[in-house]
Amino acid sequence: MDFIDFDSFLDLAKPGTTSNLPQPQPALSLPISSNIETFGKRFTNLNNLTRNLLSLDDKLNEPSQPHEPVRESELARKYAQLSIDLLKKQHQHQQNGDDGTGTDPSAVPATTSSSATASLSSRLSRVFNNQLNDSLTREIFNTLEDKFPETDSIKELIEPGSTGSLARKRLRGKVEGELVKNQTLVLKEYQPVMSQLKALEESLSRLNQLNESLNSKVDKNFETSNSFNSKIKALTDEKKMISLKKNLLIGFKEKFTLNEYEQYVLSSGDINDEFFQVLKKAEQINENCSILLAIDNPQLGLKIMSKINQLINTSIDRIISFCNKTLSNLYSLNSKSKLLTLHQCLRFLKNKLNYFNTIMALFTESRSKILIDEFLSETSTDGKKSGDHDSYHGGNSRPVFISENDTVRYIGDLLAYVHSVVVNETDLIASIFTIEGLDTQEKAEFDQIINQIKDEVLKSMARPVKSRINQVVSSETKLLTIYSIFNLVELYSLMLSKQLSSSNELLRTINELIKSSRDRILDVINSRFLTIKNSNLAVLELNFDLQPPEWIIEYFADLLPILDQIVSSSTSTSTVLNFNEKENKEFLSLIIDRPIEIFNEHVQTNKLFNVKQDQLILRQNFLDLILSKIIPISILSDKVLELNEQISGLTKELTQIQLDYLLKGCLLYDHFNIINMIYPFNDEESGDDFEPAIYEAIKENKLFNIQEMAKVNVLVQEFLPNALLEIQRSLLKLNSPMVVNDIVNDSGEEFVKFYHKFGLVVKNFLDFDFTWSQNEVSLLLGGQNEGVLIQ
Amino acid sequence: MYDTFDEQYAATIGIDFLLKTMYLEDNKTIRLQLWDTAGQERFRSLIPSYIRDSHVAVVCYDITNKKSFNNLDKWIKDVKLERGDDVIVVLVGNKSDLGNDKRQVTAEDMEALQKEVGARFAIETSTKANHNVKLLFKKIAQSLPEFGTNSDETEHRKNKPETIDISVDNTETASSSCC
Ligand SMILES: Nc1nc2c(ncn2[C@@H]2O[C@H](COP(=O)(O)OP(=O)(O)OP(=O)(O)O)[C@@H](O)[C@H]2O)c(=O)[nH]1
Ligand SMILES: [Mg+2]
Repeated sequence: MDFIDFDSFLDLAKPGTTSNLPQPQPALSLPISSNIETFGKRFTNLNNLTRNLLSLDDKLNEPSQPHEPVRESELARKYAQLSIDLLKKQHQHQQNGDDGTGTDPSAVPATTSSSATASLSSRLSRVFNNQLNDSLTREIFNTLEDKFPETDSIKELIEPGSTGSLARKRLRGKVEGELVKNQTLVLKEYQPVMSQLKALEESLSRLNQLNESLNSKVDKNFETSNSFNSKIKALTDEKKMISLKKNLLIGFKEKFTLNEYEQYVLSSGDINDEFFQVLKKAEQINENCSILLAIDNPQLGLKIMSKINQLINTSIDRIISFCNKTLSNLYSLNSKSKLLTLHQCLRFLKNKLNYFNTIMALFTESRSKILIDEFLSETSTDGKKSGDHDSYHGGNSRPVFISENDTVRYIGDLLAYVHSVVVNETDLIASIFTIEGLDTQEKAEFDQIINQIKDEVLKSMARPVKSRINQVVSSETKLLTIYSIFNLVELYSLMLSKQLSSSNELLRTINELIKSSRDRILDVINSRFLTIKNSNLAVLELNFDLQPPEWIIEYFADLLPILDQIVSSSTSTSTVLNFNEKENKEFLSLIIDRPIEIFNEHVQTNKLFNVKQDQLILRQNFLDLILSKIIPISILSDKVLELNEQISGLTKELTQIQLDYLLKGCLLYDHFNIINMIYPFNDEESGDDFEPAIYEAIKENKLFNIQEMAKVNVLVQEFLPNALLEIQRSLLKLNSPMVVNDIVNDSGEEFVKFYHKFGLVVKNFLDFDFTWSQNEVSLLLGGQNEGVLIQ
Repeated sequence: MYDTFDEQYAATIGIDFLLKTMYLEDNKTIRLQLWDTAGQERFRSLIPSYIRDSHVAVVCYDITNKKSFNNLDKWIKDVKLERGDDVIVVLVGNKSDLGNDKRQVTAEDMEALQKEVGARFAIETSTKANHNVKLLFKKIAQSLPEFGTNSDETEHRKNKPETIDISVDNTETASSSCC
């Protein structure tokens, strides 16, 4: 750092320097400032250096020396200023202490004088404050002596005045020359380094320049690339946004729009798998639109929806018209693909009930119409057959003619026709609406639909069938024919119930027809009875031959075949014509009891039969006829029993008449009555334990005497021998020989019983014996019971 | 006719019905409408109404039951009464599985009758052993007038032939039509 110190020396040599004072050596200038100040100076220098080093500016190459003097002088000035300030202050203090006034004009000169003093003092202090210690000083002087041995000159040197000064100047010149020499030597050593550095400087500066240009270029590039980058970034961001938008739009398009091709498929493409796929998509879009409707602006959703809806509606219209067209032309369904497409359509429409129902309604309507037309032409009563229909029967079926003489066959043909229509229609509908590959639930739904359509279509037949059959039935009067019709209808009801559900209108109608034909049977019978009942002819027909009237014979001629058939056909049921218990009873009562009733009325009203026996025989013959007719019929067994009861009732009455006849003939009639009044005979007493004594009261009777009894005894012997013949003659008109027999026997037996007991009573009270024993009497009266009586 | 066989006898009530679609060679299909008529006397009156619109009458008897064979005359007469000669009559002797030990009607008997009544063909079958049943229906289909001329599906729907299947059944367990 000695060089720096030397610099200050150079500074002093400069002509602009204010200090004129002689300075023996530049080194002296250094120690003047205090250590701290030097340090601070160095420190600032250091700071400057650091600053310079750090900064990238080109001051780097600048030599530091030229600055030093400036700093030096500045420093000096600074110190001087400080000193001056100090003096000023002191001066001010003094003034303040005197008068306390601010500024004093006298202060300015004071300042000038103090500045002179300060420069002097600083120069002195530099001398006195010499840092050089004594040894060093000695060394210096020794060196000086060595170098400049002329001792004499020392004296000159210390000599005041000009010689001294001259001498000193000489010495100084010498020392300075020496110093210059030395320093030149030292500097010379640095010369190569300097030149090297100089050489380096150029390349360095070039390097620096390069660096600088590079930096600036880099900076420039950086700037351009920076803006470029930001541009790129902006663009990428934009791109990202756009692709996002694009994806959104694609997604949206996918979810919410149909492309043109798809629209075409829906609006005018073929109805096929693709069509339904697109349609499904369209529906999906419609569904998705609910999301769009939920956003703030539902406009878009509404728009899309209306558009898609329009397309869907067009598609549905097309589907409907396809269905209707296909269903109206069933031949087209022979093509499997058409059928499959139809199935797709139906499956699609199934959830749109109103559309589906419309189609079904149209189909059922057209089928119904075809069925009715066909039915009417097939069964037309005039036998005319209208044009070619979509007929099951093809061209060569023959219409069902009504024939005068065979209505049963007509009904049979008609029902067979209905049967074939039912099975064919069932098959047709099933073949159209049975869709393959359905899950069980859907299948069940379609099965139900099939049944509905079937019911609906076949329903159309119900009315014409009903009217046709009713027309025949109501105009038919032959019981057997009606019954055959009834049977047919019943059988068909059974057969159709295999194909049709019980709720089916046609089946219900058939069942109604069963009832109406049955009712017709009842009607016919009833009206027949009514006619008979009111017929005078029927009453008049009854005459003394006492035979049953013709009408009952005719009636049974009609009824029996029916009953026979009922018996042979009804295997399981215990009732006829499918009646319930009560109806059955009523019916049986109608067919059996009612004619008897009517007949009895007729007998009553006919004045001819005032003789009771005739009436009884007539009725007996009537019942006997009926009995003979119904005895073999198992379902009428109850009625047979009833009839038997009635017959035996009549028989009893007839027997009584015969008994009366016998008693009267023997004058025993009154006695018989009296005896019975006292105590009626009964069978138990007919034996040996008969006690005549209980009839003592008979003695009170005037007629109960010997004379009377003798008369009786005579009469018995006169009357009885012819009585049997007489009785048999009177019963000649009774048709049943068995009944005649019964009457004869019973009355005879009864008479014999009485004759015997009465004989015992007479014997007891009158001690009179009848001539004929009871055996004899019995013999006369037929005698079959002889064995019984002889006990 | 239902492609099943049931040992249990269940008498047909009235008229049973079946639609049978047959696929013949040359891709021809034919739909046969079969009416299975009951053999019992009490259902007999129904049958003429079905013969009316039928093209073929398959008259069955039981080869183990001579009486059923003898009854054929009566049934064929019924058929002819309705349709005259405008009908194809086919004779079927069923229960050929029992042919070895219980046979009462010989093949010669059958052929003789076939000639006599002018039946289109006669065949012995066994529904139990499923013998000749398919052949029977095939032959029926082939004997139909429509067959061979125009036999695409449409035509057949229109000219759907109907087949009467008459079971002769006097003995309650005699012949069979359960094909
Ligand atoms: N062994 C044998 N038995 C048969 C054959 N075919 C039918 N059967 C039996 O014969 C009986 C009557 O058969 P069905 O077919 O019901 O008779 P069907 O002629 O239809 O009777 P109806 O309907 O009353 O006229 C049944 O028990 C059958 O099992 C056969 O080929 N072989
Ligand atoms: Mg059967």
